[in-house]
Amino acid sequence: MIDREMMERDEELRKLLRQWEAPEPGKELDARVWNTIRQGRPARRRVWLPVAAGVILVAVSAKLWMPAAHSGNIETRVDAVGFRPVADGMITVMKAGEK
Amino acid sequence: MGMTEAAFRTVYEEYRGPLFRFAYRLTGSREVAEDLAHDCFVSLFHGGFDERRGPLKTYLYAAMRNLARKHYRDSGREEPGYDIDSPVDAAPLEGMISRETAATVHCAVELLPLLQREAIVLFEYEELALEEISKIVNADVGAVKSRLSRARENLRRCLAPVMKGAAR
Repeated sequence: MIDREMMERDEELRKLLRQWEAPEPGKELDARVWNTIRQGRPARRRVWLPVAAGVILVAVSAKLWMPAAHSGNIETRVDAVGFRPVADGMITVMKAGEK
Repeated sequence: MGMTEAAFRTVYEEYRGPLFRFAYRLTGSREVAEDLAHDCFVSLFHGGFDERRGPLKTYLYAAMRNLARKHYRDSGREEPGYDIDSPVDAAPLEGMISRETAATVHCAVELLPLLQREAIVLFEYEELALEEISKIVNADVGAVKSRLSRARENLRRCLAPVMKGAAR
């Protein structure tokens, strides 16, 4: 009831406003919407996907590389069997050939 | 959480035109309206719709309104015309009066403060009821009527020369 009263009061303005027609949405909108939907994920997730893939790749590479570095042939072992500390801990400087 | 493709298709076919036109009349740009309609529908597809939120129609219009307002905030266009009581300066239209009436009306609507513009677009172009508009814009019916009244006042002032011409 209120709506009708308001419309009737402004019929002249209403007719004038109706002369401005909005365009119909184009096929481009349909294509964009369906493309996005069929990709199955929101646009933001698509942006982050390559970043996430890069991070995973780096992490996997690092994991593969690290054990390789540790499993090389260079190995240091200390065998302390039979070790006896020097009784006199003084330092003696000797020239080459001296006994 | 999201919608099935079949359910989405039904909603899309029903609302693609109305929501696009609403966005176009709020922003005045076909490209922007397409962007906003795209975002609105994709968001609906992924987020789904809970009937407890109310009717789908008002939910979609409200979502589009929020996207349009975000667009205005991001582009810095909201401030000058946002105030509900802002009088509209009709000067930019003076030179247009002799040109096409539709273009003049377009400009007159675009000159309205955002709250008045969305009220007039939803009421006059989308032909929604005041109660529906009040839900969409999250204001009571009295506030919507007040915005409509001010919008009409501004439009009558801006379009006075065109209206005189039409009356002759």
